[in-house]
Amino acid sequence: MPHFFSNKRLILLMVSIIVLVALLGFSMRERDAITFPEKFVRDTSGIVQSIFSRPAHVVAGFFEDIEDLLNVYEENKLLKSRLDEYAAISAELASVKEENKTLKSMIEVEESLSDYVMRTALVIHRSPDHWTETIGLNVGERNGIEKNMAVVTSEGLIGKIDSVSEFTSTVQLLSDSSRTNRVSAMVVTNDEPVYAFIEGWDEEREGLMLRKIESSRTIEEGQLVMTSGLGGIFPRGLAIGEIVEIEPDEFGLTYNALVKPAADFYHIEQVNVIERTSANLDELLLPEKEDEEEEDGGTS
Amino acid sequence: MIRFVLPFLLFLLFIIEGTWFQIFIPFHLDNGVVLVPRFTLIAVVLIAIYRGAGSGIMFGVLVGVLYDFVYNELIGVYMFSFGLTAYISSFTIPAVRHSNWWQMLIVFCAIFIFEWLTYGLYYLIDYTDIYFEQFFVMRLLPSWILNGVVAIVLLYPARLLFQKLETYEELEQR
Repeated sequence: MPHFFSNKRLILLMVSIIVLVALLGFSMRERDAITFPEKFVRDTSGIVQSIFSRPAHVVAGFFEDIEDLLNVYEENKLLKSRLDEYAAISAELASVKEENKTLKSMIEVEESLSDYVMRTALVIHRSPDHWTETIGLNVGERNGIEKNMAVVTSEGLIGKIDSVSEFTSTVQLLSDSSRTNRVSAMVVTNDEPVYAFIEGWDEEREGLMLRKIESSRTIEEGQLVMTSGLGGIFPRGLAIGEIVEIEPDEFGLTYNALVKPAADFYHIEQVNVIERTSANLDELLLPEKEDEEEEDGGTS
Repeated sequence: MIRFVLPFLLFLLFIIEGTWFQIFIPFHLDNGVVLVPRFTLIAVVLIAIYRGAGSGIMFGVLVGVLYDFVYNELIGVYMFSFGLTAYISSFTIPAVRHSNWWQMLIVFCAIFIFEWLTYGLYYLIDYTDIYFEQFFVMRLLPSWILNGVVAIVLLYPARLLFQKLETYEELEQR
């Protein structure tokens, strides 16, 4: 390599570094939607990926089935013991639902924060470098998917839709370490729920961090954590996990808790995308706020 | 037709990395070790060795764009890293082409440079905050072993493939 860093190549390297910085600057800011070439590439590879992923999921599922077969006896024993409990709970649920309906009709509330519709989707890829934790789904704009919809498995919440193209969409998992990854959550206690935020993933202890828990409220290990529906993105009452550890935060003003997620973030095959149907509070409030700001700007 | 063989194989490796590998291999082991497949990188480095810096960089940038567009919203990191790694590893000397040992050494170095480059870029723009020691033990060493084994398996078939391609291309030119 006699001309490893000849003048021409050095200039070329400089130019490519400048292009790199420009592209990074362009793509790092908060983007509402991805650009056309990105959509095109995602759709094309998405079609191939869904062709490849189906048989792979079948084969992987087969091995899982074999593993399950070995534990059938133990599981059966446990399930039988839970069955009586289940009958009682489902009877109670039916009566409570009925009661809820009549109470709602009495106060004339039509929609609640927990209304939603669900769409099933298949996982077609996962980012191989695990710097960002994202997975790809085989549904997109065509199926009515939009940015920021909640994504759940049968066990619980796993993340939200990050970007959408025509036939595919990517999901930002809760375990992603991005700073924008934040969920308004609540801890279910015997009386009033305690509100806090799920913020990020604790790499060492393998759990989600629940932050900003008011110190005046008492919570215990083993209590359930759900979405609160107050963030405006997720519906209320999607299971996130349960508390395993509680500690005061760095300043001693609030508490932090480590939450063991209900869903498995590592073996995901089929997911449900949830669209919240109740009216968004923010949209009702925003125009007013802008008006106020304008007025303020006018007077000052 | 013959010119579509390499892009097709690269795309296949790309799909295998993102879809099959993620389904079948338990990439997440209990002790926090992360296995990152870099099969396309191995292929790009081999292309750079057999075909020269020009086509190495071309394929590298193409694969990098694919990576950036499909897996990240962030554009540029992989494009740059793939291109630069392909350029650095383009030793088109006959001695390298005919010796599997040299190729293995180059692939090993390329994996290190590539991983280090992407880690550095992500660290620079605050996408990750793990320290180099942790990165080295948890990510670099395991993926080095994984991709090293895959590279050793791929080297011989790759040489046959490139020889075949060369003879076919000569035939086409006549």
